[in-house]
Amino acid sequence: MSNEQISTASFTQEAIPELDAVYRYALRLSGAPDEAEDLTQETFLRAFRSWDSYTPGTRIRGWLFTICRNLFFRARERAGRREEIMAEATEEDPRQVSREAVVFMASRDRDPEGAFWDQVIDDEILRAVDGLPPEFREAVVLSDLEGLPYGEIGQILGVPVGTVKSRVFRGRRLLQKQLYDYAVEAGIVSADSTGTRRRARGGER
Amino acid sequence: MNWMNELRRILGRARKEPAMAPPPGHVTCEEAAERVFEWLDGELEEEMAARVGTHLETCAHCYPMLRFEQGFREAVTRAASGIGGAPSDLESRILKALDAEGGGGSTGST
Repeated sequence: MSNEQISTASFTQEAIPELDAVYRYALRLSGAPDEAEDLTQETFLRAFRSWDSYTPGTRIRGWLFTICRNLFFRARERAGRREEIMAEATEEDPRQVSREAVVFMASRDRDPEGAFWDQVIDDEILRAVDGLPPEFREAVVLSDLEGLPYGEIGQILGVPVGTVKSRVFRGRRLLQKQLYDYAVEAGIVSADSTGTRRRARGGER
Repeated sequence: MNWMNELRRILGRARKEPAMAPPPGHVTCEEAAERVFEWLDGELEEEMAARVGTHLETCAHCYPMLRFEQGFREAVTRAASGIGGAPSDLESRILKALDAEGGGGSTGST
Protein backbone atom coordinates (compact mmCIF):
# COMPACT_ATOMS: atom_id res chain seq x y z
CA MET A 1 0.00 0.00 0.00
CA SER A 2 1.31 3.41 -0.88
CA ASN A 3 1.26 6.22 1.64
CA GLU A 4 -1.48 7.81 -0.35
CA GLN A 5 -3.65 4.74 -0.10
CA ILE A 6 -3.04 4.52 3.62
CA SER A 7 -4.04 8.11 4.17
CA THR A 8 -7.15 7.69 2.02
CA ALA A 9 -8.12 4.64 4.05
CA SER A 10 -7.64 6.31 7.41
CA PHE A 11 -9.45 9.41 6.23
CA THR A 12 -12.38 7.39 4.98
CA GLN A 13 -12.48 5.47 8.22
CA GLU A 14 -12.30 8.43 10.57
CA ALA A 15 -13.82 11.38 8.76
CA ILE A 16 -16.61 9.92 6.65
CA PRO A 17 -18.67 8.75 9.67
CA GLU A 18 -18.97 12.46 10.55
CA LEU A 19 -20.71 13.21 7.25
CA ASP A 20 -24.18 13.63 8.73
CA ALA A 21 -22.95 15.88 11.52
CA VAL A 22 -20.98 18.08 9.10
CA TYR A 23 -23.94 18.29 6.76
CA ARG A 24 -26.28 19.31 9.58
CA TYR A 25 -23.82 21.95 10.70
CA ALA A 26 -23.41 23.22 7.14
CA LEU A 27 -27.18 23.35 6.81
CA ARG A 28 -27.51 25.50 9.92
CA LEU A 29 -24.72 27.80 8.74
CA SER A 30 -26.03 28.30 5.23
CA GLY A 31 -29.74 27.75 5.69
CA ALA A 32 -30.03 26.16 2.23
CA PRO A 33 -29.77 22.42 1.44
CA ASP A 34 -27.98 22.95 -1.92
CA GLU A 35 -25.39 25.19 -0.39
CA ALA A 36 -25.02 22.82 2.56
CA GLU A 37 -24.22 19.93 0.22
CA ASP A 38 -21.57 21.89 -1.63
CA LEU A 39 -20.14 23.17 1.61
CA THR A 40 -20.02 19.66 3.05
CA GLN A 41 -18.27 18.27 -0.01
CA GLU A 42 -15.77 21.11 0.01
CA THR A 43 -15.16 20.57 3.72
CA PHE A 44 -14.26 16.92 3.19
CA LEU A 45 -12.00 17.71 0.23
CA ARG A 46 -10.25 20.40 2.21
CA ALA A 47 -9.96 18.11 5.22
CA PHE A 48 -8.50 15.37 3.03
CA ARG A 49 -5.82 17.70 1.70
CA SER A 50 -4.92 18.73 5.25
CA TRP A 51 -5.18 15.24 6.66
CA ASP A 52 -1.49 15.41 7.59
CA SER A 53 -2.22 18.23 10.02
CA TYR A 54 -4.89 16.29 11.85
CA THR A 55 -3.69 14.56 15.02
CA PRO A 56 -5.17 11.06 15.10
CA GLY A 57 -7.35 10.41 18.10
CA THR A 58 -8.21 14.06 18.72
CA ARG A 59 -11.75 15.23 18.21
CA ILE A 60 -12.42 14.96 14.54
CA ARG A 61 -15.86 16.51 14.59
CA GLY A 62 -14.61 19.81 15.93
CA TRP A 63 -11.76 19.77 13.43
CA LEU A 64 -14.17 19.26 10.52
CA PHE A 65 -16.54 21.91 11.87
CA THR A 66 -13.70 24.41 12.02
CA ILE A 67 -12.86 23.76 8.37
CA CYS A 68 -16.52 23.96 7.42
CA ARG A 69 -17.00 27.23 9.23
CA ASN A 70 -13.89 28.81 7.73
CA LEU A 71 -14.99 27.84 4.23
CA PHE A 72 -18.44 29.21 4.82
CA PHE A 73 -17.29 32.61 6.05
CA ARG A 74 -14.62 32.91 3.38
CA ALA A 75 -17.20 32.23 0.69
CA ARG A 76 -19.52 34.81 2.19
CA GLU A 77 -16.77 37.37 2.30
CA ARG A 78 -15.87 36.71 -1.30
CA ALA A 79 -19.49 37.21 -2.23
CA GLY A 80 -19.28 40.63 -0.64
CA ARG A 81 -21.55 39.75 2.18
CA ARG A 82 -19.13 40.72 4.86
CA GLU A 83 -20.91 43.95 5.70
CA GLU A 84 -24.15 42.09 5.92
CA ILE A 85 -22.71 39.50 8.26
CA MET A 86 -21.17 42.14 10.47
CA ALA A 87 -24.37 44.18 10.48
CA GLU A 88 -26.36 41.14 11.51
CA ALA A 89 -23.85 40.36 14.20
CA THR A 90 -24.26 43.71 15.86
CA GLU A 91 -28.04 43.91 15.73
CA GLU A 92 -28.29 42.44 19.22
CA ASP A 93 -25.82 43.87 21.66
CA PRO A 94 -24.68 40.86 23.72
CA ARG A 95 -24.38 43.00 26.83
CA GLN A 96 -28.03 43.94 26.51
CA VAL A 97 -29.21 40.35 26.43
CA SER A 98 -30.06 39.20 29.90
CA ARG A 99 -28.60 36.09 31.43
CA GLU A 100 -31.57 36.00 33.77
CA ALA A 101 -34.34 33.47 33.35
CA VAL A 102 -36.88 36.10 32.33
CA VAL A 103 -39.25 33.66 30.67
CA PHE A 104 -39.25 31.40 33.69
CA MET A 105 -40.09 34.35 35.87
CA ALA A 106 -42.83 35.47 33.49
CA SER A 107 -44.50 32.09 33.24
CA ARG A 108 -43.93 30.59 36.67
CA ASP A 109 -47.37 31.47 38.02
CA ARG A 110 -49.21 29.68 35.25
CA ASP A 111 -46.78 26.95 34.32
CA PRO A 112 -44.20 26.70 37.09
CA GLU A 113 -42.20 23.83 35.62
CA GLY A 114 -42.37 24.87 32.00
CA ALA A 115 -44.65 22.05 30.85
CA PHE A 116 -45.40 24.11 27.75
CA TRP A 117 -41.97 23.24 26.27
CA ASP A 118 -43.35 19.81 25.42
CA GLN A 119 -45.87 21.38 23.10
CA VAL A 120 -43.60 23.67 21.16
CA ILE A 121 -43.15 22.00 17.78
CA ASP A 122 -39.72 21.09 16.44
CA ASP A 123 -39.92 23.28 13.34
CA GLU A 124 -40.70 26.29 15.47
CA ILE A 125 -37.66 25.61 17.63
CA LEU A 126 -35.34 25.26 14.64
CA ARG A 127 -36.80 28.39 13.05
CA ALA A 128 -36.17 30.29 16.25
CA VAL A 129 -32.56 29.00 16.40
CA ASP A 130 -32.01 30.11 12.80
CA GLY A 131 -33.42 33.51 13.68
CA LEU A 132 -30.94 34.18 16.49
CA PRO A 133 -28.23 36.80 15.89
CA PRO A 134 -25.23 34.94 14.37
CA GLU A 135 -22.90 34.91 17.34
CA PHE A 136 -25.59 33.48 19.59
CA ARG A 137 -26.84 31.13 16.90
CA GLU A 138 -23.41 29.59 16.40
CA ALA A 139 -22.96 28.96 20.11
CA VAL A 140 -26.44 27.48 20.54
CA VAL A 141 -26.11 25.29 17.43
CA LEU A 142 -22.81 23.84 18.61
CA SER A 143 -23.88 23.31 22.20
CA ASP A 144 -27.54 22.38 21.96
CA LEU A 145 -27.94 20.94 18.48
CA GLU A 146 -24.54 19.25 18.25
CA GLY A 147 -23.95 18.67 21.94
CA LEU A 148 -20.32 19.82 21.97
CA PRO A 149 -18.60 20.80 25.24
CA TYR A 150 -17.74 24.46 25.84
CA GLY A 151 -14.02 23.87 25.33
CA GLU A 152 -14.47 22.45 21.87
CA ILE A 153 -16.89 25.19 20.90
CA GLY A 154 -14.26 27.71 21.96
CA GLN A 155 -11.72 26.07 19.67
CA ILE A 156 -14.08 26.12 16.70
CA LEU A 157 -15.12 29.73 17.24
CA GLY A 158 -11.67 30.87 18.30
CA VAL A 159 -12.88 32.43 21.56
CA PRO A 160 -12.20 31.70 25.25
CA VAL A 161 -14.49 29.39 27.22
CA GLY A 162 -15.88 32.34 29.19
CA THR A 163 -17.11 33.87 25.95
CA VAL A 164 -18.62 30.56 24.89
CA LYS A 165 -20.55 30.37 28.15
CA SER A 166 -21.80 33.91 27.83
CA ARG A 167 -22.98 33.32 24.26
CA VAL A 168 -24.58 29.96 25.01
CA PHE A 169 -26.42 31.29 28.07
CA ARG A 170 -27.60 34.49 26.45
CA GLY A 171 -28.44 32.66 23.23
CA ARG A 172 -30.64 30.28 25.21
CA ARG A 173 -32.39 33.16 26.93
CA LEU A 174 -33.14 34.80 23.58
CA LEU A 175 -34.38 31.49 22.25
CA GLN A 176 -36.61 31.01 25.28
CA LYS A 177 -38.07 34.47 24.79
CA GLN A 178 -38.74 33.76 21.12
CA LEU A 179 -40.39 30.42 21.83
CA TYR A 180 -42.40 31.76 24.73
CA ASP A 181 -43.82 34.52 22.54
CA TYR A 182 -44.71 31.87 19.99
CA ALA A 183 -46.33 29.70 22.69
CA VAL A 184 -48.44 32.61 23.88
CA GLU A 185 -49.46 33.45 20.33
CA ALA A 186 -50.32 29.84 19.57
CA GLY A 187 -52.40 29.64 22.75
CA ILE A 188 -50.15 27.02 24.34
CA VAL A 189 -49.74 29.27 27.36
CA SER A 190 -52.18 31.98 28.30
CA ALA A 191 -50.93 35.51 27.97
CA ASP A 192 -52.49 36.89 31.12
CA SER A 193 -51.55 35.88 34.61
CA THR A 194 -55.09 34.84 35.54
CA GLY A 195 -54.33 31.74 33.51
CA THR A 196 -57.33 30.41 31.65
CA ARG A 197 -55.28 27.33 30.92
CA ARG A 198 -53.49 26.52 34.08
CA ARG A 199 -51.32 23.79 32.63
CA ALA A 200 -50.04 23.55 29.11
CA ARG A 201 -49.74 19.77 29.22
CA GLY A 202 -52.81 17.94 27.98
CA GLY A 203 -54.38 21.15 26.77
CA GLU A 204 -56.68 21.40 23.77
CA ARG A 205 -56.14 18.23 21.84
CA MET B 1 -34.88 52.13 76.13
CA ASN B 2 -35.58 48.56 76.96
CA TRP B 3 -38.12 47.79 74.28
CA MET B 4 -35.67 49.00 71.61
CA ASN B 5 -33.07 46.56 72.80
CA GLU B 6 -35.64 43.82 72.91
CA LEU B 7 -36.65 44.59 69.33
CA ARG B 8 -33.02 44.57 68.21
CA ARG B 9 -32.50 41.24 69.90
CA ILE B 10 -35.53 39.70 68.16
CA LEU B 11 -34.62 41.14 64.77
CA GLY B 12 -31.05 40.02 65.19
CA ARG B 13 -32.12 36.49 65.93
CA ALA B 14 -34.52 36.40 63.00
CA ARG B 15 -31.77 37.55 60.70
CA LYS B 16 -29.33 35.00 61.96
CA GLU B 17 -31.63 32.02 61.74
CA PRO B 18 -31.21 31.20 58.05
CA ALA B 19 -27.46 31.14 58.49
CA MET B 20 -27.83 28.45 61.11
CA ALA B 21 -29.44 26.06 58.62
CA PRO B 22 -27.16 26.06 55.59
CA PRO B 23 -28.85 26.02 52.17
CA PRO B 24 -29.07 22.65 50.39
CA GLY B 25 -25.71 21.64 48.98
CA HIS B 26 -24.13 24.63 50.76
CA VAL B 27 -24.91 26.68 47.68
CA THR B 28 -27.21 29.70 47.73
CA CYS B 29 -30.21 29.93 45.43
CA GLU B 30 -28.47 32.68 43.46
CA GLU B 31 -25.38 30.54 42.89
CA ALA B 32 -27.50 27.57 41.90
CA ALA B 33 -29.47 29.66 39.41
CA GLU B 34 -26.28 31.04 37.96
CA ARG B 35 -24.83 27.59 37.43
CA VAL B 36 -27.90 25.70 36.29
CA PHE B 37 -26.86 25.63 32.62
CA GLU B 38 -23.32 24.52 33.44
CA TRP B 39 -24.76 21.82 35.64
CA LEU B 40 -27.16 20.62 32.93
CA ASP B 41 -24.35 20.71 30.37
CA GLY B 42 -22.11 18.61 32.60
CA GLU B 43 -19.49 21.35 32.64
CA LEU B 44 -18.95 21.68 36.40
CA GLU B 45 -16.18 19.88 38.17
CA GLU B 46 -17.25 16.97 40.30
CA GLU B 47 -17.49 18.58 43.72
CA MET B 48 -19.29 21.70 42.52
CA ALA B 49 -21.59 19.59 40.34
CA ALA B 50 -22.61 17.51 43.35
CA ARG B 51 -23.32 20.59 45.45
CA VAL B 52 -25.27 22.42 42.76
CA GLY B 53 -27.15 19.23 41.91
CA THR B 54 -28.12 18.67 45.53
CA HIS B 55 -29.36 22.21 45.77
CA LEU B 56 -31.37 22.20 42.54
CA GLU B 57 -33.01 18.89 43.28
CA THR B 58 -33.88 19.53 46.92
CA CYS B 59 -34.58 23.26 47.17
CA ALA B 60 -38.31 23.93 46.96
CA HIS B 61 -37.64 27.36 45.49
CA CYS B 62 -35.19 26.22 42.80
CA TYR B 63 -36.67 22.90 41.74
CA PRO B 64 -39.34 24.37 39.42
CA MET B 65 -36.61 26.43 37.75
CA LEU B 66 -34.58 23.26 37.20
CA ARG B 67 -37.60 21.52 35.66
CA PHE B 68 -38.22 24.54 33.45
CA GLU B 69 -34.65 24.57 32.12
CA GLN B 70 -34.64 20.80 31.67
CA GLY B 71 -37.89 21.01 29.71
CA PHE B 72 -36.41 23.68 27.46
CA ARG B 73 -33.23 21.75 26.85
CA GLU B 74 -35.10 18.53 26.11
CA ALA B 75 -37.32 20.35 23.62
CA VAL B 76 -34.27 21.70 21.76
CA THR B 77 -32.56 18.31 21.78
CA ARG B 78 -35.73 16.72 20.49
CA ALA B 79 -35.94 19.27 17.68
CA ALA B 80 -32.28 18.69 16.82
CA SER B 81 -32.74 14.94 16.62
CA GLY B 82 -35.37 15.49 13.96
CA ILE B 83 -32.90 17.13 11.57
CA GLY B 84 -32.13 14.61 8.87
CA GLY B 85 -28.61 13.67 7.87
CA ALA B 86 -26.89 14.21 4.55
CA PRO B 87 -28.69 13.17 1.35
CA SER B 88 -27.94 9.55 0.49
CA ASP B 89 -25.87 10.30 -2.60
CA LEU B 90 -23.59 12.83 -0.95
CA GLU B 91 -21.25 10.23 0.52
CA SER B 92 -20.63 8.54 -2.83
CA ARG B 93 -20.07 11.91 -4.48
CA ILE B 94 -17.51 12.86 -1.86
CA LEU B 95 -15.76 9.48 -2.09
CA LYS B 96 -15.57 9.86 -5.85
CA ALA B 97 -14.09 13.32 -5.49
CA LEU B 98 -11.55 11.99 -2.97
CA ASP B 99 -10.60 9.21 -5.37
CA ALA B 100 -10.02 11.69 -8.14
CA GLU B 101 -7.92 13.76 -5.80
CA GLY B 102 -5.84 10.86 -4.45
CA GLY B 103 -5.46 9.10 -7.78
CA GLY B 104 -4.39 12.24 -9.62
CA GLY B 105 -1.68 12.79 -7.05
CA SER B 106 -2.23 16.50 -7.37
CA THR B 107 -1.09 18.80 -4.60
CA GLY B 108 -4.52 20.33 -4.66
CA SER B 109 -3.65 23.97 -4.61
CA THR B 110 -6.05 26.52 -3.09
